[in-house]
Amino acid sequence: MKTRLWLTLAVVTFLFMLVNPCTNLRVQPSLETPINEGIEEARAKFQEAYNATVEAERAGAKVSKAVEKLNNALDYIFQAENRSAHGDTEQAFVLTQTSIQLSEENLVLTQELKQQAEILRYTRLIVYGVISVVLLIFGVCAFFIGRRMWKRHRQNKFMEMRVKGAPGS
Amino acid sequence: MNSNKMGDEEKTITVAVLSAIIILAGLLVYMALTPARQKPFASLEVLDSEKKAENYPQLLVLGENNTFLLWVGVGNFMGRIEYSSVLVKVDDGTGQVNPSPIDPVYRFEKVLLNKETWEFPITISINQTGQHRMIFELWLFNELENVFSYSKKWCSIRLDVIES
Repeated sequence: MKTRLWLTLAVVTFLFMLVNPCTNLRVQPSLETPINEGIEEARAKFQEAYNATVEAERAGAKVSKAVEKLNNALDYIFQAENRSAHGDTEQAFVLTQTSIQLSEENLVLTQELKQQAEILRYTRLIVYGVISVVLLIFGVCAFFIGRRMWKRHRQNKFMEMRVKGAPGS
Repeated sequence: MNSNKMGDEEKTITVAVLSAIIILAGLLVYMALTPARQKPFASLEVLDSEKKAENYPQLLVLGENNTFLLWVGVGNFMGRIEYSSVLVKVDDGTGQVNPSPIDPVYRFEKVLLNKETWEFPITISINQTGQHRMIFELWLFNELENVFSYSKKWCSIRLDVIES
């Protein structure tokens, strides 16, 4: 009974969305939103993507692919601005949407690159740590073995001198 | 037998000392060959149509050579990626520069990788007689404040435009 009530409510809401003129705003923002706002939105998204790329680079990621994508997004913004200046708002809208999509893709890409860089950094840290410990152990062993060998060497020399210095030799 | 053993020990010590010397020498050579860290900088240059800093247009005649081509170069040596913007402004040569307060007539933007240089051509037409000054300014994006900051890098070209 309760499920049926919810289902009816959902269907009514859906039907209301179909006839409500405000729904168009969500589906096709180009009809209501001025193109300049679209370009501003594309620029804001681009800046967000750029900031994410800077962070990824700071984390040690190689960001050449992300930068290529950023430049493509920027190119679309410039094209949209040109089209908008010539009154071709429809094409300008399409271009801004492409730019926004590229910026969003870039955000995902930089996130992945950042994660990879962090994994690589931790792996390096572990490897360098292990190498350092091994080298330290090796150094300590070399010191003690070397000292023992040196002592034996000195002892042998001393013995040799004594044998040489002994009467009748 | 004893002297043979001693010879072995002497050899081991010699090898160990030589190895240490070689490792130290290697480290010293590496340190000597590794270049010192450069101070981060960005560069801006304006070149003529043949990408040389020589034959800049100076005297333009309307309807004859009032359309010309220049190359603009930007270098990023900031040690990180940079979102750079080149603004082209035109005034009569008497206004303030570094930076100029007037609105740009052209704006070019690109994200540059570290150590990347960006060169692009600009075709300019001047259709008004008189004295003109073309100002090129480099602005870099400051991600902390989300605005472009002036890099204090600028170039200018003075032009005299006359009627034919």
